[in-house]
Amino acid sequence: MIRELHEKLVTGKVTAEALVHTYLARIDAVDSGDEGIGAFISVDRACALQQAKVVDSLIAEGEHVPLLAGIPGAIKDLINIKDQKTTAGSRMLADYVSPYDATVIEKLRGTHAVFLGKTNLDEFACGGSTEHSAYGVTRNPQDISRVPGGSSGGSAAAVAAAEAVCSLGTDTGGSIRQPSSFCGTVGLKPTYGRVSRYGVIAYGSSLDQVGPIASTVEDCAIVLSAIAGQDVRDATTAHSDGQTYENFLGEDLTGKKIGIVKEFLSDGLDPRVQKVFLDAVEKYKSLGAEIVDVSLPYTDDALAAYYVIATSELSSNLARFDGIRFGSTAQQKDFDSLIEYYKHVRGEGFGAEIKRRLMLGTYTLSAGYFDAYYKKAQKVRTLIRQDYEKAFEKVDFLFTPTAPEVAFKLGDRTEDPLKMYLTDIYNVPANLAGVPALSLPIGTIVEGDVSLPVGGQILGKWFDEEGVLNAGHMWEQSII
Amino acid sequence: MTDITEKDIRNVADLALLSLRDEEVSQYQKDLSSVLGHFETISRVDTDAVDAIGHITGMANVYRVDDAHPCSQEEREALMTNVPSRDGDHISVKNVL
Repeated sequence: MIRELHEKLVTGKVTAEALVHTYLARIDAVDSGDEGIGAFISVDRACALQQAKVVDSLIAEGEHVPLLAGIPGAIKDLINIKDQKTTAGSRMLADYVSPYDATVIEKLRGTHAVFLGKTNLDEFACGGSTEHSAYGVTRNPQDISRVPGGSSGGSAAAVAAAEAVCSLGTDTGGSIRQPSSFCGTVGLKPTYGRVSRYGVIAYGSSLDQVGPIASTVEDCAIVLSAIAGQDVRDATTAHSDGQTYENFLGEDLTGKKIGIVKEFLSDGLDPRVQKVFLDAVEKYKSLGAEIVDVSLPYTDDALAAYYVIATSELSSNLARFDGIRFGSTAQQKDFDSLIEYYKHVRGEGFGAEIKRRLMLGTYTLSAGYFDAYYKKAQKVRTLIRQDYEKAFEKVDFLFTPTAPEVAFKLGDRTEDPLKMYLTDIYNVPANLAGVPALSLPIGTIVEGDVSLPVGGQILGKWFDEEGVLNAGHMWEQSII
Repeated sequence: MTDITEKDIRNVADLALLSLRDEEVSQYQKDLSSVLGHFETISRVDTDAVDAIGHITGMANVYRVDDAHPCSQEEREALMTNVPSRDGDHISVKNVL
């Protein structure tokens, strides 16, 4: 889609300004109100139109512009854009205006991409349904009585509802892939270290990655090319040669080995999702790939290990929200001590799910429990990584359902946190192992008069985004 | 289920610097008991001969030069606009001692 729009822009069939107006009109039409999608927390029309005008003048001057120039995108409201609010979906940051651009934003500015606005999310990226935001829920564009998934639910819904061409999300334990599966978009969690997190509010620092959401694999590849690369301001980023990922698409899959993980086809999987998935496996066979059965024995332990690590790191990262340098305040009250002030500001500023996770993480890091929880989980993580190392000695990719189910109804899981956490079961191993993982739509399930998307997940070797994107692209092309 | 008492919840909320209302205490007592019960399933994994993971892609010791970053008045002002309570270029806080 980006390539087609780019052709229209550079050949003068449409101006960037007109394109932005089209998307702003779409946002006005579908995003707000009781039955609106609610994908955006904020829309910055002036910023988007200004960026578009720059692109139009560059094109008028005969400049060669990058593929993303003038393309209207949306940014998860966890990522800083200079002089715009970054709320993280929290009351804590209701008035926080970022004094700087995140590295991914700086890189996108270099391509002259257009930022329409900031998208809704579960508070501080903690959740799988985008129901835990201080700014209201986001609805699934395929069926507004259902959740869009989360935590990047706004970013996926914006693309699915044609309110943006592409978007950025973040993925700590499935937060790009699961909403992509629920909304019918394509989403990529890159390898840990592929994309800089500088300027992105941290959740689980040993797990977090920023990645693209779009309507095609090629569009994801184009966005990834723009945002990837080493950054001195994020010491965890790996060396990169500045790949142009979209140039690696179209390679024949004949002879490629694709592993099907038996532990992912277990009891909790909706049989209808299983059928769609197994049909998709047949498609890979017809593309010449060799299907290999694979076992990842520690899969069952991944979810518990993930939640111990993620909540522990969250409790450490969110300690900075103390109402002193930024964020909520409580000027009107008098407190006996600074500690009482902190407790009040944090108790009022954080939502229920964040407080729940902060207490879980504080508990697992506390004296007497650290070895039994955090250290133990880091050991289990070593075993999970070894599972993936062994699997990738035998196969080029792993293919699984992205989620064990289709989008569930709004309100269905909010009363039972453990049940909500279990929705991440197929997603968290990729974050624990650090490997790249792509979700793409592989079919639909009809329920009543709605058609609900099913996602398939392709996992690849560390830093093999080229291969993962190509495997997704070839599947996608085979059904056109 | 893990047996988490009301006292445990109040203690962990203190450590996490969170004020809780009474109804939150009973809700979190229920929630944490259920989730920590699930966390404990990792105790069944034999990890005696396993090291805890460091960096997932194996990076180590990434250094940078420890230089001061010059900050323009404009940058300083942009940072300070988010400060809830200030005194000139300083951040005001309640007495610590």
